[in-house]
Amino acid sequence: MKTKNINSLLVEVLLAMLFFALSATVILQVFVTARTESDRAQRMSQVLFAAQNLADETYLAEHPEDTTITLEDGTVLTVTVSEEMKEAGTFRNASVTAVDTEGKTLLTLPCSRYIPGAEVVQ
Amino acid sequence: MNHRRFNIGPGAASLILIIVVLSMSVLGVLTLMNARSDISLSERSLAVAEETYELNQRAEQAFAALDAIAVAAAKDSADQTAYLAAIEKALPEGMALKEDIVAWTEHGKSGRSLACAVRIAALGEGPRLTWAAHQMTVNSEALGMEELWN
Repeated sequence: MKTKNINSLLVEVLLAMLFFALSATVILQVFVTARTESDRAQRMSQVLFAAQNLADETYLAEHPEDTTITLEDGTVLTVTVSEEMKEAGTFRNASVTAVDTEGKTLLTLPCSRYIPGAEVVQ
Repeated sequence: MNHRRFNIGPGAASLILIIVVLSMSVLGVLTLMNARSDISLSERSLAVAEETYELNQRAEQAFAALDAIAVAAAKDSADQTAYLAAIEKALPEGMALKEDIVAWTEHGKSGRSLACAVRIAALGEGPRLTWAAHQMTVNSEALGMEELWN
């Protein structure tokens, strides 16, 4: 009778362990997905912060130039600048583009600026 | 001595296991929901930043167009009144002149808009135009914020 009890307890523990192993596999995947998504959100925030800094610097700079900056996570920020002469001044077309490691464009921030001509028309 | 024996009956291991698995599942789902909302917030931040910079770009383009109008108006005007009248006549749709300030609004796709105003200097003085207002406004109805709060 005692042996029968021990056997049934052993079977129960074995089944419990099997069930735990299966559950842990699924739950672990959920945690891994959450971690991956959380990392991605953090990277996006960092990219946005860096791109905004770069766009504001480009807007305020007197003579900005084409620049490429690679962030720690491999995202590449590219600044493109071109100038267009207008009737009364210069329109400086500029934009900051962020491209991730897979080649996907995350965002493009235009930071163009119009610089009026210095002459005063009488 | 009176010894009290503690026996683990059949089903106790299963009960503990169910409690542990349920707890882990709840924690996992909460973590995943938190991560998803982080992603959603980040994507929204990117969209808002792009829209804001796009509106600024359009405001600069309008500023450039207005400067060209001011230069052209100055060439044909003898005094300040004629100068302002010539500018008012040449203003594109959406821009309005009040005293010496030209105001207009750039509208974004998702209910955000940029209210712009430029002060026109007196004829012959420089700089011809200076920014008087550059204010971002949010239409909460268009963004669905009313529903969000309710």
